[in-house]
Amino acid sequence: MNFKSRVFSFLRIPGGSRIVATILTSVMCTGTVSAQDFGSIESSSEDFRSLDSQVQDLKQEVMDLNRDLFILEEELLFPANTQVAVFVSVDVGFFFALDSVQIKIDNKEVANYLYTERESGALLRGGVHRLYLGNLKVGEHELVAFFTGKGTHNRDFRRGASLIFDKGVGAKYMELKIVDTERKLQPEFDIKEWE
Amino acid sequence: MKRCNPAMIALLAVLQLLSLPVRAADEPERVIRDLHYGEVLFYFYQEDYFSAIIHLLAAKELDQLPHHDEEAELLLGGLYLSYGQHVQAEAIFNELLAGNVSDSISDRTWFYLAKIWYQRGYTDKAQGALSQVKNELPADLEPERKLLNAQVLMAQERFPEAIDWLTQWEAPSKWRAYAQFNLGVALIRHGEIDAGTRILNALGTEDIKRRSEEFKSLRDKANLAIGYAYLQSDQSDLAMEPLQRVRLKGPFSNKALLGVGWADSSAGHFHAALSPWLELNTRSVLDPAVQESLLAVPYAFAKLEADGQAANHYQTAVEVFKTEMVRLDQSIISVADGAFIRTLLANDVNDARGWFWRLDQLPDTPASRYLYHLLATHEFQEALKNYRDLVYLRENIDRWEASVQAFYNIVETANYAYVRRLPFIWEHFDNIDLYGMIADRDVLSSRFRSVNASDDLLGLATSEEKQMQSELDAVGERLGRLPYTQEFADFRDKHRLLQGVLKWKMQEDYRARLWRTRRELKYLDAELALAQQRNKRVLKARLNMTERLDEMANRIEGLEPKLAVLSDNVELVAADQENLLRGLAVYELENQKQRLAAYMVQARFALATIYDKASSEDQAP
Repeated sequence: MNFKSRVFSFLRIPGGSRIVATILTSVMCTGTVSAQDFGSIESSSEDFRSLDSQVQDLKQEVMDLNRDLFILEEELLFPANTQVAVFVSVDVGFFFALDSVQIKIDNKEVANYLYTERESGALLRGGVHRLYLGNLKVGEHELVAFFTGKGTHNRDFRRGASLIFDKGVGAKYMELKIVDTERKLQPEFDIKEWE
Repeated sequence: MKRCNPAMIALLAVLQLLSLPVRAADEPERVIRDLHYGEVLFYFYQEDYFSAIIHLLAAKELDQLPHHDEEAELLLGGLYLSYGQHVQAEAIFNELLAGNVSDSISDRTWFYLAKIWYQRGYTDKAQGALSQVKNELPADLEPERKLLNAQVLMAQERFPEAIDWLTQWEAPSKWRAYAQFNLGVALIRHGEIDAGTRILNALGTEDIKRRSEEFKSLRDKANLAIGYAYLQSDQSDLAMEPLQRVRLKGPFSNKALLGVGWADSSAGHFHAALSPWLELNTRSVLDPAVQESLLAVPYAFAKLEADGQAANHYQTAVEVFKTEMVRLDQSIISVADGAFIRTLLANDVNDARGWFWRLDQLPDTPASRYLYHLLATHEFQEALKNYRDLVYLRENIDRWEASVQAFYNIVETANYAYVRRLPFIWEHFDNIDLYGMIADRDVLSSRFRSVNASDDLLGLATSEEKQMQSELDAVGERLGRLPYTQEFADFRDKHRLLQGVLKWKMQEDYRARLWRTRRELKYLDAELALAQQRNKRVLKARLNMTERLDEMANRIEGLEPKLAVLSDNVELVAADQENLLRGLAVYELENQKQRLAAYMVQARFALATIYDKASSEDQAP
């Protein structure tokens, strides 16, 4: 048996031992920026696409249903005429990491939330967190809020603010904005009422 | 509040998806004017795309984003894309990127979309997205767009167009190697072997000093391609040089060592061939090139007539193949019964990162070592992402199914409480005579008008003044009955004086009293109007409460069957997706097993030949 017939007999072995051709194909087909050859098993690519399309449709249906259930849940638990929501936002121009926010309404603690690094980062980038959603009777109420966090040089901050607000017949939204005072470079609460 | 730019948010979503750094120019710059939009951003910035989409869809449905209509739609496009919903994302971008944003943002978004679609294997869609790019992209992106266009053409096997495109492209130095490599590959795949080889050879002979690892790897790849092209066309003598240019410790070294051995043995230099092949023997047996070398080494020994060593190596090869085949069998069982796929996601925190998620830690199982190449492919990763999303959807539906039961209880409890409390409330309500109050108010108002018209001082007098007036009237009456003598003249004077003082006092306060009474009547009017309003509201609420609870119950009843249907569908598609993954893995393992089985046959046949030869020699006279 000469070399060629011997070596290329390897190449004819069933089950993918056409090693030269395989290596050559893998080198030639592989993209230069993306590292893998996508179409290595052609039939499964078709299966993938067909299933991918089904998965896409299904995900959309589940998301639409989630939207309906989410709205239903809120309307059921927090009807618009009694609904009160408290949002937290951060707008500071220097380093500040929010640790926690505590809310009392009519002297009763309704929320005490510890922020993860990820959540605190999302707030710094402009996200707004709906910290509390509840029900209140029409009339006058008092909101008291405290926050803790770390500023520059690892300095601890704890600040508070209060607001007497009037709850009408519609939903009431309040925003606890953590802002910085220009003069002192310190974070402070600013409570804004939304209708 | 933080500022955000409308279209930039969508682009940001795409950039975040591709793990690309955000530039200073991409920083937000417009005020958030709807709290619910900020809430969507809160989830988006945490890469919780599923929650962000649900909040955004709900806020849109409830008209809670009146100031962020356009950017909300663009953001939704970006979020859909991040969650792997590329069809929905495309529809939104098609509609919105056309006219509402600057060309620069639109071009960049389409470019990133093309890149994502190319990675997912949708080359037709990638081509479509690239055709939407109207102008040149910024200098750091334009070369990548050009290269992506070539790759898409090559993936579609449109080699002449790819060759034209790459030939005309004057790539900047950093990108020249990629352009060269792709051009070489396109030429060879189009059948222009000589031209392709020349191009790859130029790349393969470039100096690697002070070059990046990426470049070195590309250079190795070019050399490997040329070497194997020569080996395949029986030009083994020419294959040696490019193969020897491949680095010994790079990712392509095993294949290069195998090729060098073949080039040597082809020239009859079996001794020389042993050197790269024996080196390969010391490397991981999972690599096909190493497996091939386990047969190539004894083959060379046999050629050198070292039959004893050849037999030993064949026996070693048989043992190695046998052990590996047993492990492969165990792995196939583990994959086929689904255990391996479940293990892949066992340590995964199934959050809602969707398409952004990647499997970055392989489980420590026997199957992993045979499948790491497959697991790293886009194809497997994308299918696994879909499977993972389906698992998330299944958990999501389970949670809602439990909640729906709670919703029914809430409605039932509210109904029960309402029905129980209603009679007491109604009894209390009935005791309030609102219409009587309104009639009293009308009487008062009419009396006031008459007092005002006749300037009736006594009409607004205090009870004390009225008492005084009544006493003075009684005294006057008695004085009238007495004779008009000097004896009573003083009394009459005093009576006149007192009457005058009282009238003067009432006259003095009259205007103020008139004003106060008018004000009090107005206040009474306002209070009565409020009471009437509340009365109406209570009546309406009584009606609404029942309607509202009925409506809620109807909505729950409408959604519950949808949940059940979706639950079944998710189950079915998840099973199909798991089958696809299992199929890919089993196919890969079966391939490896078949290759080993074939090698084993080769090894045993060669061993038998050697033993046969030895026994013939022993029996020779």
